[in-house]
Order: sequence, then structure tokens, then C-alpha cells
Amino acid sequence: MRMKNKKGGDKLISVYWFAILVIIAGGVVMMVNVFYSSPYDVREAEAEILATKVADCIYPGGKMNLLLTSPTGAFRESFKDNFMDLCSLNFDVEGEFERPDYYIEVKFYTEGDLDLQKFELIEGNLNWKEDCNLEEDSREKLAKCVEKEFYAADITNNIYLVKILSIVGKGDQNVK
Amino acid sequence: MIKEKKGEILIENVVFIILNVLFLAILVMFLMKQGQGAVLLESSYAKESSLLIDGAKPGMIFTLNMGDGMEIAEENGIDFSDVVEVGKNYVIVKLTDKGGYKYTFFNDVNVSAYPDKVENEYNGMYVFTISKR
Repeated sequence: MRMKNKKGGDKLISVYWFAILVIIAGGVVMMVNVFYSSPYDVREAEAEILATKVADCIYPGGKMNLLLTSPTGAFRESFKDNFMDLCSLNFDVEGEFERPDYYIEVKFYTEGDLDLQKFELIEGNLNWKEDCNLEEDSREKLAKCVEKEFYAADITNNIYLVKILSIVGKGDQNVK
Repeated sequence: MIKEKKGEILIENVVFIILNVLFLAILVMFLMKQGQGAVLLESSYAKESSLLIDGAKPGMIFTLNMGDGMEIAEENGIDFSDVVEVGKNYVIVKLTDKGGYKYTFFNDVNVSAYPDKVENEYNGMYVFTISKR
């Protein structure tokens, strides 16, 4: 009688054991599917590269780009007009009604007076800029913003604070 | 009588262990297969190469290991030399015959991409050369 109960108990444990395995397997499959169905979000890295590239264009090798300022230290408007070409940037998109996925903004402030903006360079889709100021729970669906700032001296030793804001949209390709 | 009982218990245990091992093997195979899906690899290769192009300067050459992608492309009858297509400012990676995955880059440079070969056979590496536009 005692042996019979033990045998029945063992079988019951086996059934429970397989039930637990099935639950674990189900959980693993679910988690793996959720993980792999979400695309890799590379926007922050992309915005970081964009900001670095622009910083390198403005201040290559620790010296102000000679095309940006004149020998007297004045900023050249021609640099603003040809900013994309001079910094080897291309935000073009296919399709007539498509807007660029990028936005870049560079502002130069005088060292002594940080409220006084001396010069600025702006390119790309301005609509993305609003996303940087929004504080929402689902921030991952908004554009990614990266800010960088550094001090730069021009040829006449005027010192400027350079603030770079780079933004990458591409939400549909990087967020589920 | 006692001997027969012991035999039954042993068979039950063996079956139980085999089923457990089988179950775990299937689970591990599933996990390993999940990370090698064509869609996942297409997007990761396209994004990876776009980021490398963005950070590159004219004159640079870099190689990308696409060994896993090469196997999938071969299974789907796509020649490895047709896997990567680079346009004016985009990269398309195609491992199946369903169109591939496209990702744009902002660096205004000329990019050419070709598969690397060792002794006239593809070795799973793709070479990207960057030149001034």
C-alpha cells in the first residue's frame, strides 16, 4: 500500500515538473521574441558622430577653420551658405514630401558674455528640435538629441564658446 | 517481485532524464536560432555599416564581418556580392529576396563596397572603401 502511494506521488511530481518546464519555456520564448522584435536603436550614436564631425569641421586640429573666420576675426557668411558642402554633410532624402531625418545647430558665444550670440549655423529639419524639450514617459519614440560644447580661439585670439546640438529622427527604424 | 519494481523505476527515470535533456536542447537551439534571423541581421549590418561610414574620412578602408549573413544569403540563393548595395547616402543589405533593409548616412563621401575573397572564395568579410566626393 505504501509502495503504491510512493509510485503515484512520483508520477505526480513528473507531471508538475513538465508543467514547470513548459511555463519556463513559454516565458523564455516570450522574452526572446520581445527582445529580438525590437530594433537596435542607434540614433544616439549617430547623433554623437554627427556632433563630433561638425566639431571637427569647425575646429580641425585645435585651430578655427580658416574658411569660417576672416583674418580680422569676423565670421564669414559664405561658410554658413556652404556649411553642408564644407563639412561634407548630406541630409538629402528621397521623395518630394520627405523631410530630413537630421538637424544640426551650431552657436558661437563670446567668452565674456555668454548671452551674446555672435554666429550660428543651422541645417536640417527644424521640427525635430521640439522633441528635445518634451518630457514624456515614452521618450524613446522621440528624436534623439546630443549636445556638445567647447571653447575655441580664432586667429586673432578671440575666444568663443561653441554649442553644438545634433538631432537624429529615424524613429520608425529604431523604435518598435 | 522486488527486482521487477526496481527495473520499472530505472526505466521511468531514464525516460524522464531523456525528455528533460531533449527539452533543454530544443530550448537552446531555439535561442541560438533567434539571434541569426535574416531580418535582424539585415538591419544590424545596415546600421553598423552606416555608422562606420558616418565616422569615416576619405582614404579610409574598413571591413565588416558578415559571415553569418553570408550563410543565410547562400541558403536563399543570393550571391554574396549582391548582399550590400551602397547608394548616394544609403546602404541596403539584402539577405533574402524580400527587398532588404535600407539605412541612410549623412557623411557626404563616395563609398564602394565589395566582398573580400581568399583563394577565389568569399570569406564572409565585406570591404568598404571611402573616397572624397
